[in-house]
Amino acid sequence: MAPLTGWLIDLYPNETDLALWLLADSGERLLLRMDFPITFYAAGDFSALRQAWRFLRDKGVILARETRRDLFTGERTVLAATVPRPASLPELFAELSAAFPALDYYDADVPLPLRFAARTGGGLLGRCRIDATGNRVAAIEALDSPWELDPQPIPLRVLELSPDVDPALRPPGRLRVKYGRVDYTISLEPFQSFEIALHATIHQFDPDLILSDYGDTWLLPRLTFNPNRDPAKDVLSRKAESYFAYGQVVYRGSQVYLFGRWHIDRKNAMLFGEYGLEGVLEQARVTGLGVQEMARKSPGAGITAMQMLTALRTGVLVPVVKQQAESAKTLDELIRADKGGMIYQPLIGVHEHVAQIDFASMYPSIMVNFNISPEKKGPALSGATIGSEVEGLIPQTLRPLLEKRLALKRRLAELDPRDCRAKSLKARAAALKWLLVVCFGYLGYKNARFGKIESHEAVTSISRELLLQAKETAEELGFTVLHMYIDCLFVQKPGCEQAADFSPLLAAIEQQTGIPIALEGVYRWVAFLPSKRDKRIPVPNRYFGVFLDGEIKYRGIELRRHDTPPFVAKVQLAVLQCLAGAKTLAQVQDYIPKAREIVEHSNRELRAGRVPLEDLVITQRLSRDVNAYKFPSPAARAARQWIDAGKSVAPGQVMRFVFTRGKPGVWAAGVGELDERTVDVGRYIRLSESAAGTIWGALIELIKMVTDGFHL
Amino acid sequence: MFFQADSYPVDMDILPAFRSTSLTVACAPHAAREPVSQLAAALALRGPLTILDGGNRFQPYRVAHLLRQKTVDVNAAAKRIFIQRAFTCYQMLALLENTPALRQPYIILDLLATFYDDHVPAHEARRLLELCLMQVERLSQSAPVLITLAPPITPERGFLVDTVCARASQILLPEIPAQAETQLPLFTSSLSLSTCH
Repeated sequence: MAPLTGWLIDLYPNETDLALWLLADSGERLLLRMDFPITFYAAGDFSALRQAWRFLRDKGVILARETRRDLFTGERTVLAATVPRPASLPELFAELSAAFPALDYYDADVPLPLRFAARTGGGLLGRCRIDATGNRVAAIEALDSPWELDPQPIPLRVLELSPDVDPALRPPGRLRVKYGRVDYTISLEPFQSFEIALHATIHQFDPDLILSDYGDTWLLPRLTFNPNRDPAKDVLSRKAESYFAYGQVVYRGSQVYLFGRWHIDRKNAMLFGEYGLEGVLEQARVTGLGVQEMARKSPGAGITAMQMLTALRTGVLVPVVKQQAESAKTLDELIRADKGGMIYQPLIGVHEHVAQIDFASMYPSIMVNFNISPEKKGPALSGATIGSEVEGLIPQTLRPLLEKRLALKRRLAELDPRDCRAKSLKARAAALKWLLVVCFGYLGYKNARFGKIESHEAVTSISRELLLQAKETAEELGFTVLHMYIDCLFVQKPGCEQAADFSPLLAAIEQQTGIPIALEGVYRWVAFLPSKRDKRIPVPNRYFGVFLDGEIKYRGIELRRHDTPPFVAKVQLAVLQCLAGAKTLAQVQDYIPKAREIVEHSNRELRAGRVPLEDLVITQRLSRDVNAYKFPSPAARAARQWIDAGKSVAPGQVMRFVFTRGKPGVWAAGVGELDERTVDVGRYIRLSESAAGTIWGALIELIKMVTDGFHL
Repeated sequence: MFFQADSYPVDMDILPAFRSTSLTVACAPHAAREPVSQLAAALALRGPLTILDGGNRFQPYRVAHLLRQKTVDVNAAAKRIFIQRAFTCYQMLALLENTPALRQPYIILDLLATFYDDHVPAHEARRLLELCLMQVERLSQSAPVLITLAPPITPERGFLVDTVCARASQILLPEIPAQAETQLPLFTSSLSLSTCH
């Protein structure tokens, strides 16, 4: 049989071996099979290892004694257990670890796609050449790398399914079906007819990807037919769960995974709104995880996968649990080390011709340039040693990722924004950015396999030093530093008004620090806001401004908050856009009457009932169990309504509600119909006026301060 | 054994109890971090001490502030406090196993925080805690040990608190503020009503 070439789109274990789906260059979707024995390791007390050996030898496992490298403790003698059938590993490992809990286990929970990528050099979404006998893979060769800037696009068949309304608000009546140039809706009633129509569509179009809205939580769990491409597999459903992460309770809705084709629920996919399908595919390509996994998991899971892959490729064991604890510090050492990034409070006021300059991926750049990795000890962690040692596991993992993102950004900067490639490049760069953003946090994250708090502290320590160097460089060149925040500076100098005027500064900082720095933009004017409680106190990272090209940027105001209802956010944005029309600070006051009119018009529309209900919906997360609230928040009151209506609610779940008059003061979306006459119009008006006031109120005051010569 | 999370143990003075016994367990909201700060500052004036922090509860700035109130040589005292943090129960066990038994006090702050993690199965948490307590016993043979505990996040993990308390020489609980005595009204409302009539 001639070798097959194409893209590997899915792999999973079946009863006896590994199933691979190849999207062949011929256009066929081929199901192939491959023998794929996998090995995991146990280490520890020799007598316990001997017992474990006896425990395993009758279970069809190939056993051997080997020496392997633990990243932290070095060479270890381990018991290597090779399982011929990958599907049997989870159960076997659960039995073994329950019987011998005191042993240290390695490589036992590595996702299968990562093992495959480590062993074959290729991976999911990569192009490969396969020698096969019948449907059995004899050899496989990777034809590209995840780090290619222009991977050949995969000719995916995408089927989009979306209901006419959010099922949490009311039961949908129709489902929109879109694929290729076909776009139509199907009635959901009667459901049996709907299922027949949908099944026929899936069968006929044979999509590689079902891209749905509410597919995880609403549509797919209701289907009685099997939407898999591999009919031998049932869909994989994962239950909803609440867990504690990043200091808050997080709720993850139920998930439905398919075999042979992918399913992504846009409404249940992590950061899908940020970078779309292009971004998800880019993340899946570089992390080695499957598309369905990567779409639903956090970028942290992606970084962990990349670290595991580096470990597998370099012969380092992947521990099941992390045991390395922090080294002892004295109180003064702890106070010196345990700090975050550098913040230099802003100079309150409105400033003209201000440049914002950002270090590009500052923390990952530090980790790569200064060789920061948890296995490094002493000088490397204090930042004194640069590149003189063997590259650590973390820099090895991050270097190609960082280089790819910077290359994509460079390419994007060269492109005309109207170029059709710009959108895709932007999405891919954003997806890589998120991986780089979390890689720093994962150095100190408790469950990170290869994290250590000292590495985390070393990064922030170096970043503080570099930011100070940047500040000194700017001041030596005559710039005033208005604000510094972790990895960016706001600078101003009389006579510097265009982007080119700041180029010498960028070059000087880059030369001094060795970290690439870029101009985010030059503001016509930017307002640094004071604290709401005390107008003398500046607030870091709370500002809004207008770039030379008219683009608006804002941080720390209502528009950025997740619990601001769309109506209020739209009013605030409209006010900001109106004021952005002012070419100079002096003109801003001329635009304020028009901004006021915008707010008044919005309020009239609201009073007249012409604002769509969706725009009044507030989204808030339940921080705890409903019964644990002493003074129920609006979200808790909405949750109570859900419970009374027989629906289940879990901590971390996002509640959607509308403020209403009288008790209980909210209407929970999805609980009966809202009598629109009960909407608390006054409350929404207060919210929108407050949000608008954040913009113009601050501007009027700040401009007055400037014109009066008052300086804080 | 459970304790109320409503009251904050501002009046909990651990130092007198800490002197006399080998293993003291203090159960309080926030794992008694304020009393522990006071205790750490007091002990640091006398000699070295080790703090093993399981819940990221240690307040370095607060302790430095307290030291400044007690001594002019803050740096010397600060160098006598040794801190290590654990962020998983496996790390807590590793910390305890690697801690040498010296003749200096040990404070294990919020020992159970990482054991309350619902990603760790209850039977595994129990097993690891037993191993931790064996190490605590080793340390307590050479020096006084204080363990502080915060209430479990869910009642299902309450058994962990019981397991620790069962090993304690003494258990300290925050004082529940006594109800202020209220003077009985001279007249009942019905009586006053009738008087009005």
